[in-house]
Amino acid sequence: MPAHRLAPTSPLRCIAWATAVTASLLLAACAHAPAPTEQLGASRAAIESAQSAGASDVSPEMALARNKLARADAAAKAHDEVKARRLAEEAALDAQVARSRIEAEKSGKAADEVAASMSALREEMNRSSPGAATKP
Amino acid sequence: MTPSRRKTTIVPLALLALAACSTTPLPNAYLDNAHRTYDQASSNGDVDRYASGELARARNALAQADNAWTAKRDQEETSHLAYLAQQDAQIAMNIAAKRAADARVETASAERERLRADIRTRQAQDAERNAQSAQRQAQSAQAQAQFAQTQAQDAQARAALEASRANRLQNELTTLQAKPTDHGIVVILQDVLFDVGHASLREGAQSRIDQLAAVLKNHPERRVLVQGYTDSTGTAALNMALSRARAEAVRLALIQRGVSSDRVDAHGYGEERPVATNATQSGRTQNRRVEVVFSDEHGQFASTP
Repeated sequence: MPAHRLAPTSPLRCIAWATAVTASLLLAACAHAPAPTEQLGASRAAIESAQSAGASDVSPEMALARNKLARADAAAKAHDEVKARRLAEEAALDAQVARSRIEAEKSGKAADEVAASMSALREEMNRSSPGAATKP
Repeated sequence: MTPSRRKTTIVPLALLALAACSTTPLPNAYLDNAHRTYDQASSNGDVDRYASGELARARNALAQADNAWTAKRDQEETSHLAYLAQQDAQIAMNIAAKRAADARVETASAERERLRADIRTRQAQDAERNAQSAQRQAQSAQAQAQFAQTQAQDAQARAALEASRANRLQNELTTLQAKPTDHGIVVILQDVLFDVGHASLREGAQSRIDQLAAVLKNHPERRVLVQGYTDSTGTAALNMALSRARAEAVRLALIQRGVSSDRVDAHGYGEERPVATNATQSGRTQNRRVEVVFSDEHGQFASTP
C-alpha cells in the first residue's frame, strides 16, 4: 500500500489532509444552500417582460424591482443565499405589479376610446333619424 | 384610480425604508399592510369576477405569512412573505381592472356593430321610402295627365255635340223657313194663321206650331221670344192689343205642347217695324205677322229686339 509507506507524522501528509477536509467542507456547504440561480433568472425575465409590456423604468415598481435584483445578485455573490432568494422573489413580484398596472391602464384607455366612439355613433344615429323622418 | 394606485405603491417603499433602518415595529407592519391590501382586493367585485385565481394566490401567500408570524415569530421571514402576499393582492386588482376594461371593450364593440347595422338598415329604409315617394309622385303625375286628357276629350265631345245640335237646329228650322238675322234665327208665321182682326189660331196653323214645339223640345237650351206685328190699318192702340194677343196665342199654343213657360216670352209691337209698305195689299199681308226669335244655345238673345 503506498499510503502505508508514508509516515503519519510527515508534514506533507498533514497538508494533504487539511486540503482534503477543506475541499469536502466547501463542497458540502454548496450542496446545503445552493445559489438561487433559477429565481434570479425568473426575476430577470419578469423585469424584461414588464419592460416589453411598456412599463416605464422610472415607475416606482420598476425602480424597486431593478434595485432588488441588483441587491439579490450581490447577495448571491456574497453567498448570502437566503437574502438573495428573498430579494429575487420580491423583485419578480414588483415587476409583475408594474406589468399588470401598465396593462390595466392600456385596457382602460381602450375602453374609454370605444365608449367615446359609441357615443359619437349614437349621436350620428339620433341626428340621421329625425332628418330622415322630415324628408319629403 | 391613479392616486390610490400610486399610494399603494408608495406604501411598500416607505415600509422598505423603515425596514432598512431595522426599526420594524411589533406586531409586523408588513403583515398589517398585506391584510389591508388583501381585504381591499377581496371586497372588489371586479377581482371576484375576473381575477379569482390571482386572489387565491394572494390568500395562500398571506396564510404563509400569518403562519410565519404566529408559529415562528420570524420577523424577517414574515415581512418577506407579507410583502409577497401584498404584491400578489395588488397584482390581482390590476389584472381584474384590465380584464374588466377588456370586457367593456368587447361589449361596446358588439354594441357598436349592432348600432352600425341599425344605421345601415335605417338608411336602406329611407332609400326605399324615397323611392316609393318618387313612384307615388310619378303615378300622381300620370293620373293628372290622364285626367287632363279626359277633360280635353270631354270638351271636344261637348263642342262636337253642340256643333251637331246647332247644325240639327239649322236643318230643323229650314223646314220652318227660318232665316238667320242680326238678332238670331227668326221664324216668321204669316197672318194666314189667324183670321183677320182675330187672335185665335186657325186649324191650319196647328202643324206649324207643332213643328216649332218639336224643335224647342229637341233643343232644351234654346228659348224663344214671340213677337206680334200688324199692318197700319185701324188705330195704333187696337193694333198693339191685337199684336200682343196674337203673340200670346202662339206662346200658349207652345206651352200646351209641352214647352216650359219660362222658355217662351211674348210681346206685341202693333204696327211698328213694318217689313214692307202698308200702301199695297201684299205689303200689308207681309206686315201682319208673328216672328219667333230663337236664343243662342245659352238661352241668351243676341240683342234686345
